[in-house]
Amino acid sequence: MRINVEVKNLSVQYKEFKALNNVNVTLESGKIYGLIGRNGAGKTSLLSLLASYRKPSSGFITINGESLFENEEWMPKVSFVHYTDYKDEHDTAKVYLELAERYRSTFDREYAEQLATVFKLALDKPIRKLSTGMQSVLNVIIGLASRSPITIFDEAYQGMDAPTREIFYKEVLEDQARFPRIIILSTHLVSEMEYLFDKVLMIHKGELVVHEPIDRLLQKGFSITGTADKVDQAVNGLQKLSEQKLGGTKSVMVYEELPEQKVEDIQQLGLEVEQVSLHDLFIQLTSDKEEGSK
Amino acid sequence: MSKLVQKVTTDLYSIQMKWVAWYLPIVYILYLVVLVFVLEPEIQAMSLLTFTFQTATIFMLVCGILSSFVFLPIYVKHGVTRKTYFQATILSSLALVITIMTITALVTWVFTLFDGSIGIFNNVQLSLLSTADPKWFLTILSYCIVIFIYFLAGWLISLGFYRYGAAGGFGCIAAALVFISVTDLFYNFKTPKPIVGIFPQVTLTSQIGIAIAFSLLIIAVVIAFVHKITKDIAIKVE
Repeated sequence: MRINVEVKNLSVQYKEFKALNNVNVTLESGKIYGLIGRNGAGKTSLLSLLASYRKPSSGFITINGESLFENEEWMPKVSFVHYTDYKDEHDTAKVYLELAERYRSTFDREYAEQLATVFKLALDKPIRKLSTGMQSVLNVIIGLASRSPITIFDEAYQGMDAPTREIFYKEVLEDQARFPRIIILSTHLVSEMEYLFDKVLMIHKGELVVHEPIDRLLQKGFSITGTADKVDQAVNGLQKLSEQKLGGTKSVMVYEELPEQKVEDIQQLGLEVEQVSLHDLFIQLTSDKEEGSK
Repeated sequence: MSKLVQKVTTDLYSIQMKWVAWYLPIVYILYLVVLVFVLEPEIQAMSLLTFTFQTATIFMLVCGILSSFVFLPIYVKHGVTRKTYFQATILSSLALVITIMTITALVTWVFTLFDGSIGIFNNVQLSLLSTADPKWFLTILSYCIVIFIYFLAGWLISLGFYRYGAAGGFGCIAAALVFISVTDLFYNFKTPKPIVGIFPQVTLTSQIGIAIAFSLLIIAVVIAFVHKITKDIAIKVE
């Protein structure tokens, strides 16, 4: 099912605090979106709106032209996987799979059980007795096996060890290839998960500051290193994100698409030009100091 | 009624009936124990139906409280709209109320067969409500309506806390106390009531028909409040 999610002028206000401010974005089937932002940036607020957990203060979300909030047809087609407090949950993981199967028409029980085997999740144990990592595994299994056209994982990896997270990432990619949908991965593990993303959504202080395919975004981040005066000459007129100086050597991170000719010109000055990682871009684009200066 | 409303209603009813399967037998045993060992005339006159009704008020209040804290987030998380949850909760709780009172009425009727042969049932009266005939029907109907109001009161209180935090929660407790107290005054239940105890002992009516009519009005008012609170309530990510 091809679906198109339109987010228009979306804002959320909690009393005095504006958690989201005029967010506009379009999401398409078959893409994995990496949602990144600092603590309190508004990631979970945005995801809560997409999952109809909350009504926008202003603006709207539509799926294929229909308003999403309280929409009987579309709400069951959105899965929101997030940390859940299971300390009082006496039911077993099996009961949770049954519940998901009952309410999600696309839920694949066989796949869920295969995943339980792969992740080594005990289905007949009360959930409160599972470790935090295994509780997260249960959430992730339900999220993947629901095969909802919109599937959201909000820091779904909490408590998982590195090998378990790797299995999770592998399953996301493989199942997305089999059943393309909109997947949103909200994460703080930027370096670890960036290879999963088709597009990056970066939120800072309630505003969407980046909404781009990851390869295009990465083509905009460069560090230029060399003798200070030549670096200054090279970056003149470019959008600078940060600079570091050690003795006579200077390194400047710029955020701008550089034509090949420009890169060659800089290199001819004896300077080193390197692409920067998403992790570094994220840190600089969301730092509290004055952002980028021409 | 949509298929989804039917499904959620059935599920909510089944889950709460599992609690009833524990609750009712315990209450019945407790009734017999109390009847044998507590020799106060007021207790000796109490039928199983009246005894169960009194405990069912608290049972339904608790079911109402759990209804939002437990079921609302689970169902919205599974893509069920608030409207469907709202309709299904009302229907399932009505079914629950009717089931509890019907089963208890049947067992109470079975006990009446032993009047005269088993001493403990000799002084039992069906209820102290001033009902005209048909006494059984009006008693069961009144008890059903009142415990449904207790369910709605619990639901209102928990929704108040869930949506508005402590201040709204206490506001809803105050509103629920008013609804329950007015109901009690209409029916003039002569039972220990900590809530009504704070008000002067007045009786608003001795006519069961009027009491039923006013309690239906109270139900409509509470449901209107609950609808207002649930229709766009935010679900917590926790």
